[in-house]
Amino acid sequence: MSSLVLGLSHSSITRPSAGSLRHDVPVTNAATLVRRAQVGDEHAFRTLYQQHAGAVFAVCVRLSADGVLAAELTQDVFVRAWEGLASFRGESAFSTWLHRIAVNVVLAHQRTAERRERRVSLPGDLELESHGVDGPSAAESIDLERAIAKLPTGARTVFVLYDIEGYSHADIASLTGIAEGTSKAQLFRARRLLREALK
Amino acid sequence: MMTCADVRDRLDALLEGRLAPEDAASILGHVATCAECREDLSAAEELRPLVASLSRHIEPPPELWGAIRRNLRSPERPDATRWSRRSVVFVLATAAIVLIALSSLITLEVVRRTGRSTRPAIAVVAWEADYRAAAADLHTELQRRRSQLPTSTILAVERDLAVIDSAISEAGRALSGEPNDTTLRRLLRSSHEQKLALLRRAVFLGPET
Ligand SMILES: [Zn+2]
Repeated sequence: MSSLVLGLSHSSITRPSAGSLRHDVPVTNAATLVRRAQVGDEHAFRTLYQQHAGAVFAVCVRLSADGVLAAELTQDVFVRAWEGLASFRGESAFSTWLHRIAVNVVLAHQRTAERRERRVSLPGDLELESHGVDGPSAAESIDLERAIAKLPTGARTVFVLYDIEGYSHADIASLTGIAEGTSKAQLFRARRLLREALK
Repeated sequence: MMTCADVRDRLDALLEGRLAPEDAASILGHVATCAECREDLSAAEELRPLVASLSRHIEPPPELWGAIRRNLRSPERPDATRWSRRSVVFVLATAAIVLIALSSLITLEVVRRTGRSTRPAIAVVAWEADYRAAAADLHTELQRRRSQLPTSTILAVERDLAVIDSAISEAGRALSGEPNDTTLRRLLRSSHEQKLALLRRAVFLGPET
């Protein structure tokens, strides 16, 4: 079958779903939580934060390539979400709405920020063996995060949004203001640069 | 004719197995003769399992909620203003950075497994003979049922087979020049898969299509 092309289709089912819900989060309907938060219930908003902060922080870290900045941006995202909750009408999932705010916050920051040289620097003395995992694979995964962080901003933005977050080129064009063709070109550039960096 | 832009547009669909065999075959035919597209295909293919295993959730520093909460305007705190965040988050920097590393570590087992399973270890000659034998069986079966199939189906199948066969021979030719090129090997293997898929479809679904 065509799904056997290059023998890679199985990779999509192995994606881990890392810690989204904490054990202390009460099981409450998402729409109910949003409604309560809309009328000023901070506890409900905190639950929404606990459910979605990981995804928001992940996209902020990868887009900004800066852990410090990412925490700031994540804070900004949730403050804006709180202030904009009244405008959330539930046409999309809350996670989608929030994710879009996150992307917009990061991109707006990139547009206005002074060009300071910021890089994610993974600590050089991180001891992989002490976590009980074997060397080459550990290095492989961390190397990818590091290589993504080192991409030029344009290529990194498209790579993170398209390959990691699953946005289409049309979405990326409307979010960033670049042309769809530019988005495609940046994606292939990013992939080649990453492959080169991982060699 | 497929252009490089056409191929780029369909590369992800190809890797995800979302293309019809004949579309996949014409892409593979182009890729076998175009070094640029081959480069793009192998980059996409190599990154795929790694990217798929990256965590979509990275826990932010635990102190972050407190900082957010202090910035939420509410009826009780109408004057709440966005005070300087930088002072708070600076102390959190190391935690955030280490978390990036740890989130990657969590997924290592997956990366290790998918990473290795995509690298064929058997010699090209051995598996190619298997594909050829399987294709020959299906072809015999197809000939046997030929009289039951509408002419339009037979013509369509033969046209698609011609495209795939030319992709197979292009890939084979390129591979004889660079026998250790793993992308070409996978290309050849994948072209054979496409051919089998097409033949199976013709044999088993024949009269209805
Ligand atoms: Zn090409």
